[in-house]
Amino acid sequence: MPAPSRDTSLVSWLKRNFFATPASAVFTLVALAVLAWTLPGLIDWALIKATWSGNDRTLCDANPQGACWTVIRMRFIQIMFGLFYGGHPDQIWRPLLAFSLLVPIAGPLFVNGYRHKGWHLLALATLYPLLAYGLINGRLFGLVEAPTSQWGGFMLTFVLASVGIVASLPLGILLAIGRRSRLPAIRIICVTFIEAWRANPLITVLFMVANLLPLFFPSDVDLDKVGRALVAITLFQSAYTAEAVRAGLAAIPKGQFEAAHALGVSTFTAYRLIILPQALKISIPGIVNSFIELFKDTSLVAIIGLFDFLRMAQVVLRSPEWRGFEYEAYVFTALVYWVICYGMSKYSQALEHRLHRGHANDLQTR
Amino acid sequence: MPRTSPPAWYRNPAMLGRLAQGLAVGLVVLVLVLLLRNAAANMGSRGLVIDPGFLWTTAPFNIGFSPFINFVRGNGVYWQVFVIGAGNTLLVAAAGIVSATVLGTIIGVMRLSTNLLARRLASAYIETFRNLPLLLQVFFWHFIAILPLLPARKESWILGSAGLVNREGVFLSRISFATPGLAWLALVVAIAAIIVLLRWGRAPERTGREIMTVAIVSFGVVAGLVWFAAPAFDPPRLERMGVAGGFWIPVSLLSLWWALTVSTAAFIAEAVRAGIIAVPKGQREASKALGLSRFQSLRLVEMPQALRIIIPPTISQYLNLFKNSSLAVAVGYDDIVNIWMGATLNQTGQAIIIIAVTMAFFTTVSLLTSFTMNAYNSRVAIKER
Repeated sequence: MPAPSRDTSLVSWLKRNFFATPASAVFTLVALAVLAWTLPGLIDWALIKATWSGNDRTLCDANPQGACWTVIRMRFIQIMFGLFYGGHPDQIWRPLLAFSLLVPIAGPLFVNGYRHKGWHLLALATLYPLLAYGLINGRLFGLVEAPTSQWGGFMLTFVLASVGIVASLPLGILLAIGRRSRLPAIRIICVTFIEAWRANPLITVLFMVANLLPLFFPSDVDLDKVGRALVAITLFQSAYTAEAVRAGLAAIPKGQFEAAHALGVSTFTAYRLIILPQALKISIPGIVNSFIELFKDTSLVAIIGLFDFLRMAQVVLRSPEWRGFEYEAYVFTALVYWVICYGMSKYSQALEHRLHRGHANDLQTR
Repeated sequence: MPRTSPPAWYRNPAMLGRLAQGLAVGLVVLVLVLLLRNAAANMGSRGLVIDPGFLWTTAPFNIGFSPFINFVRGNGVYWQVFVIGAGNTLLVAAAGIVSATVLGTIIGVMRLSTNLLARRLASAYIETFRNLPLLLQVFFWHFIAILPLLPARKESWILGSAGLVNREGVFLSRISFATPGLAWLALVVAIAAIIVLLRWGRAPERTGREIMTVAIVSFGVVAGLVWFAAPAFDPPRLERMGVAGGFWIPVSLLSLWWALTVSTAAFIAEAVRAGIIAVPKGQREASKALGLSRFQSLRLVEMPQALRIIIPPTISQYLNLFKNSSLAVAVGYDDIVNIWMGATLNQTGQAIIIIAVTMAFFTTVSLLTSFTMNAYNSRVAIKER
């Protein structure tokens, strides 16, 4: 064979990358033809010919060739914040304030080398949920009450996913440690718990909690639908969090335990001060990945009658006022979901890259 | 030298271990007892009883799609509802696993193609379908892509004697044989020939000619047997109230199957890619030097080695697909969630039994699948001495 060519001209680059073999050339031509056939029409519909203005559907009906983004604009608050805030647009400062409070409380957790992360974590887990619930529900602060049955839209999706992941962390960590225990009874309990949830789809768990929770709890404990969904999501998610943490624990060399024991450190203290800080750091990308899955899966709460982001958009587009613009609802929700999930997965990849430096043991445990 | 006395019980690891286990078991038992006591009290005050007898009572609803059991409204009983739902779940999951594997392998190999366009298209595919909720994808395929494409019943597309297609689904002709015995014989011969070709034909000393002879002869025998069995097509007929005859594949099954295939393929493609890039580059260069084509090199050299890395993540994707088939409820396919945990629970109110049975079903199938696949994995894994 001749030496590889050093030709860097455009023609040779094209030839190398698109027409290297006959099969490759055929693929290029077919794929280009398909793209040329579909893409212009799509761009035309979504952007060039689309309707953006107007307050009702008249302009959209007059322009059937283009997308009708008017509906998303007109019902934006309802799609993002649910029925209550859709009807009280003057109140949306409440969820907005609740979510902006995340920046000072949770933001520092993402800053490298910041020293008081523990306090922020504590505030995030205890103070913040109360504050956010008080603001969004409103009764605690004497505002117009937004009952949870009227929560919905993107806000509900976000609340379900983030409460689910945060609440699953303590349980997940305990389960992961228990699964590695040398005590058979504890190990069996943890494995059974983890595998039982992982073997079942979230829908089953949601059905189970929706139907059985009222039976298995004292009759004076009555959770609303959002509360039940949260219980189901937390139980379900704790199994996945446990698996992510277990992968982190597995990456810690055994010598760390042995050294701790040799120094007379108890198992509990060893976990708290030596093992968990390292293991949790390694398991963050895994936890972020399972958060992405959870974020997408929360759309299933529609099946037990909650109006999450996707369901809310569907409901708006099925109202008699806006019937016939389902495309727009799906394209808009898909875009929002995609941007968030893609962004998080890129973040998790970058994190993995950064955190995995200096853990030589990783290679052996893979 | 000071004498060592046995440590106090609260410093003795063995004692502490036993204590911890006792506490854990006690806690679990306590929680279970509390929950069961609550359940008993709540059920008592509401006049509910756990009664498996409902399984033998008649179900007052109809099941649209029941390919294995003949379910007649007013005659069918609830245990049949469970069996049909479980069967339908397994059906769509099995079909999805096969097609997602094929599509995922193609996309994964495309992701590593020398053609830049193919690489970019494959990664666009993967990133699109991995980052959208599956429910959204199911809705999209069913309500936006597939349903509006299909004609109403009156304008059904007639596919000759094969069957017809309309908005209710695909109706395939049933095939009947004048001499069914010969048709069964043909099936047996065909299966035997495939087994022989796979077992005997794979030995290295077989020549292509021998294999071709066996293949052609057995194909001829099968074709002849089918011919003499005199097959007759019984095409579905369009009638005023619906389609009569034929084998019905509901459109909800098609949409669900397609959505599961497309989305799981994106995850499998990533596993395939990771597996192939883990095979040392020298393997590919060596096969090229030996004159193997790119396809031969992939099939004979790289894939067998890559499989060891591909299989474990793919197992969990198969399990995900199986669990995700529960989204059937979104398009109205008659799976276990829809007709058993939904309709049957609504009708009978036997929540505890129904949910326990459903969870047992999912758990059993998941564990069996991962057990089988792990056994396969250890067979293809590197044998180290």
